[in-house]
Amino acid sequence: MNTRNLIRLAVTLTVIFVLNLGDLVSLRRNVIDFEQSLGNDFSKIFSQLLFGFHRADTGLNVSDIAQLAFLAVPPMFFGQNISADLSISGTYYFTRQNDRTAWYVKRSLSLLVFSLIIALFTCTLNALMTSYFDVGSIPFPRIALVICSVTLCVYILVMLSNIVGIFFGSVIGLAVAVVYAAVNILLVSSPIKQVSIVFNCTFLADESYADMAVKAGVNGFIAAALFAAGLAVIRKRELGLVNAEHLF
Amino acid sequence: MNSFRTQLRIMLHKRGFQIGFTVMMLFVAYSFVRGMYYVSLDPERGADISNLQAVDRALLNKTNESYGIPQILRFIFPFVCVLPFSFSLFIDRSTRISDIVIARSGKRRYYFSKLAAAFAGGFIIFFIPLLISTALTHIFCSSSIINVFDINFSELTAGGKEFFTMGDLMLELITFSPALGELFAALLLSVYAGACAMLALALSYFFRRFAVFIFVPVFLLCKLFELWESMIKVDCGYMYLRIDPLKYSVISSDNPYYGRPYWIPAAEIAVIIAVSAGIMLFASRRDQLQ
Repeated sequence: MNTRNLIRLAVTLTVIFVLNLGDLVSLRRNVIDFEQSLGNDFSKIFSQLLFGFHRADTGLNVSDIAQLAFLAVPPMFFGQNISADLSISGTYYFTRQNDRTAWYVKRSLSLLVFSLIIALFTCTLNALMTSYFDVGSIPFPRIALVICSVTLCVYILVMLSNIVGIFFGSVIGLAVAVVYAAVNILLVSSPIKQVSIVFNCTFLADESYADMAVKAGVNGFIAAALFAAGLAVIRKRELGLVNAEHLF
Repeated sequence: MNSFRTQLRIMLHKRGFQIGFTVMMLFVAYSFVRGMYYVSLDPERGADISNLQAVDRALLNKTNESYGIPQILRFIFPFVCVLPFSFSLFIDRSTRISDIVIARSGKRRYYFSKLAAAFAGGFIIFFIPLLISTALTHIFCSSSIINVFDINFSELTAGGKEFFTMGDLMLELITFSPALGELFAALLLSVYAGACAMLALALSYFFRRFAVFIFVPVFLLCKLFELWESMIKVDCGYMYLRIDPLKYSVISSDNPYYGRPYWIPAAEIAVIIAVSAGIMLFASRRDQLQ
């Protein structure tokens, strides 16, 4: 964790806070709506505690996409963490460290930690906005599964941006990650919604542990596949031939 | 003009433009297939002629809760509009091509031709897909006068169309001719995209490293418009003023319920263009060899 990454993390969290500011400000109005709906549907409001969805009965509705804008922010600031270093200064790195795998694993783990911090921040922000529900009554394993799934969702987008960025530059990498997020949001209302990383971040209060684990597991599988693909690319990639940052 | 034509040719061959255009065309295709698919599978509607699909149902920027396309458009807009040409100044400066071109054509001409090409890129990447979307729906759907309200029997409602449109310019145009209203919406969206691309290009003058951060200003601009709107919503209740230019370009029967004076997006776009032109003017007066 060097200084540059910490600055990026701070900027990311600030931008996510600004994105949520509109909801925080309009909370005064929402409180009345929530209180009216509290009586009959309390058991279904679990997901909006942690992810901020208004319509927990259907899991995710298209009108909530405005709140998903935060998904585009982490690839914007961490999407060039591996790819730009490899493209611009790969020769410098690998003359000092022969083992590319160790370098890649270290970088990926740091990205996972950043994803965890971003997911925690977002979920906490959303929980704060609805904190007059009884957050303490939710058992810890359920909260852990939600945080795990959201972390993996952010991690997948960041890694995708990095891996595409190795070939086409970080700008195309970010664009591909954003389009992938958009496609996943569209998949939520389709028959194959189980493969959507965004669908796997939405949970209901009466969902069983097995269902929640399957959702987190699918996200974990996609993340592992991306990690393996990145490892294969890093090990084979020739250095110093082309600066991918100038290709777009 | 010659310089502009050169920049335009470079822009059309950029990988960013090609990828962005492909993405937009894919979304158009998805929107069209989805709009058609729902109707063909709806058992309650049957094969009666009154159930023919309305002309703007499968349009890219038509509000419909079950498809979610306009929301997706809003999600990818700040990224796609910047993609075609806003990075070219950054790349030219980092590869030192700009010094050579400036020596031949002059500073001001170089910067302003870049700005104009960026506007053209942002404009084309949204306008042509929206145009194709409009053309597709007009070919494959039934045309009636007041489609946006999901009422196909135009005879019943044509007399009292003021009751539906309530003076909204876009809906007035749609009741006059659907294609005209849709073109107006597409034009508004594309001009805003072009202005955003110009702003990103102008601000990229201040970036020395990390091209990807050129996305940030336009992303924040779009989000700040949304934030501004939600602030007004708190003070005035639900019936509030539209600030975000993106929301002016959405075709919806809810439009008359909001305050939508069309000088607001026009003024915002004018301010964005003026700011980017000002930055380019400032850039062209500075010494290049620093």
